[in-house]
Amino acid sequence: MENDADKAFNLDELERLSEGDEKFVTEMIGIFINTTQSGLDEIEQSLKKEDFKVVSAYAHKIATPCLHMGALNLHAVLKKIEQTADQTTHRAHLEKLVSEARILTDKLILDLKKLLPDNQ
Amino acid sequence: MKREDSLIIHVIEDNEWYNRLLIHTLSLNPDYVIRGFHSPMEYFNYKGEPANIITLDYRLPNMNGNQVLQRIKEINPDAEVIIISEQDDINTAVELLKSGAYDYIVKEKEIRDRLLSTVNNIKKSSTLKTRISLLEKEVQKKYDFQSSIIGTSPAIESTNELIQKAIQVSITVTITGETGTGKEVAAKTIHYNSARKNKPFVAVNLSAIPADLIESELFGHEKGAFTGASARRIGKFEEADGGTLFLDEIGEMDIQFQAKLLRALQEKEIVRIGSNTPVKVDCRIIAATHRNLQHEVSAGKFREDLFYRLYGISIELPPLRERGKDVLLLAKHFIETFCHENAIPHKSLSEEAQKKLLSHSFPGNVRELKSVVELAVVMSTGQEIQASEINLNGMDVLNSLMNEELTMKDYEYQILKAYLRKYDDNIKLVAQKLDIGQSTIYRMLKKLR
Repeated sequence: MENDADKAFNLDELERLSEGDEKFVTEMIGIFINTTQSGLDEIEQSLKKEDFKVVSAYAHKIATPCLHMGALNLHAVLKKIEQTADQTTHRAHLEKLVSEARILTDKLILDLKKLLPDNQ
Repeated sequence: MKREDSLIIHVIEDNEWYNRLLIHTLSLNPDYVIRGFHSPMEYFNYKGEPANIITLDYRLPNMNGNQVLQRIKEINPDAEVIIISEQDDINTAVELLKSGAYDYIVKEKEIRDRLLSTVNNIKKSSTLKTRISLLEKEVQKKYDFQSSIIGTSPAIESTNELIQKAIQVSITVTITGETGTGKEVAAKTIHYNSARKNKPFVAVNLSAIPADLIESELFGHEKGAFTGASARRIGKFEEADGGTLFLDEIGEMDIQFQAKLLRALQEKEIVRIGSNTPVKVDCRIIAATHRNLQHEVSAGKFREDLFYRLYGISIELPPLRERGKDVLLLAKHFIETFCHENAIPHKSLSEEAQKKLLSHSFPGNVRELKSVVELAVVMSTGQEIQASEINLNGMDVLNSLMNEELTMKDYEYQILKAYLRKYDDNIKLVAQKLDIGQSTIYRMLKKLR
């Protein structure tokens, strides 16, 4: 049986926060897809430039919405990226974490897009 | 459109997803007018209506939450700021609360409930603040110089000049005058027209406080300072800090305590009972008495050094019988106020009624006049108050009492009650006036209750 931690996302919390406003749920999924994708792009580019401060800031920025979207695995990886980037001494480990985040994000976005009208 | 009771809430959050979530959550209440901002720069460039509440992300580009908070407090000190942060960091939260943030909320699952409840609490306290501010304005209006000191007689005009002087400077004032002449009204007029008007006016009737409780009442006490002191309590001096402390009936103060009061006035500091630490206090003193303090000093009942310490502007309020036609001006003012407060159509005084008021000596002074005219308004049947509808104390009361055919004991009680009313429940003074012991009065009151 698949438990909550194994799911790529869980929209129960977002639906509760929407107070029955389905348009709001769709809008939030759209914003989540855009901001997570662009945030991760920034993380990858900053990592190449070894700008660990920016890596940490972007990981921090896109992590919290994951919590409310039930994307707990991605949230955990992003928090690790934030902490590791703050220390700046584990570049190899950081690269591994960012790759992991990329795989999780791509899969998550693919699944979330299916929920959008006309598969935007 | 913004409603009268609506709250303007600004959301400063650079995370697009969170920005939208906060706006959606707050927009659920139609009384809230919400506007979102994505950076401090965008916020500080905004020239629209200022917010009542601001939710502020702690981690923003270019500036951290604390820096933004400081700037917000500079440009909009009345706004309450709720910090919203990813970190559950107690030290940061404490620092931000010390810097003036209203609350610190962590971005977690309960954020919606926490945010709505915090905004609701701010709304409640803001409603209370508005009500207090309205009441303060009303009180200030009530004690506006023009509406509180009424009269054109030479006796009151020279008093007015002194009150005007007392308003200009924060000097100690002593007000003397017979009972009912308006000593407290004069004190409030000075306070509410002075530079201290936005700070408290605290009145203490020293004749109503037993000698062994005066120190605790004025200076306060620490927890456990004496039996029954279950918690720390600040005294009237600290309550009045920044404002005015009105010491009514200072002539009745126990001579043992006078030395302590003198020290407090000289050093501008008090020591709570049970403490060794002095507390600085800044309050203007207005003292009042119906006695001649100089005579009290000569009789050894009032300390000479305290007398000189209190010796600032000395205002003597004239008795009503020496104020000529002020009686009519005051009567008209009281009628107007009473009719307005009780939604009664305005009434005037007939010529005969005016003559009746002018011929009375008013031993109870302005207080008596006020009671007489208010009763007359209630008793009168027409738009004009007739002389027959004015019930003056004195012979009228005495005659009606005699007609009641009470027992000797009941008459004694009636006399006692009348004297207590006349002398503001000052038992010591009533005992002197009736030439009986204070213990007799206490005994009679006990039976009466």
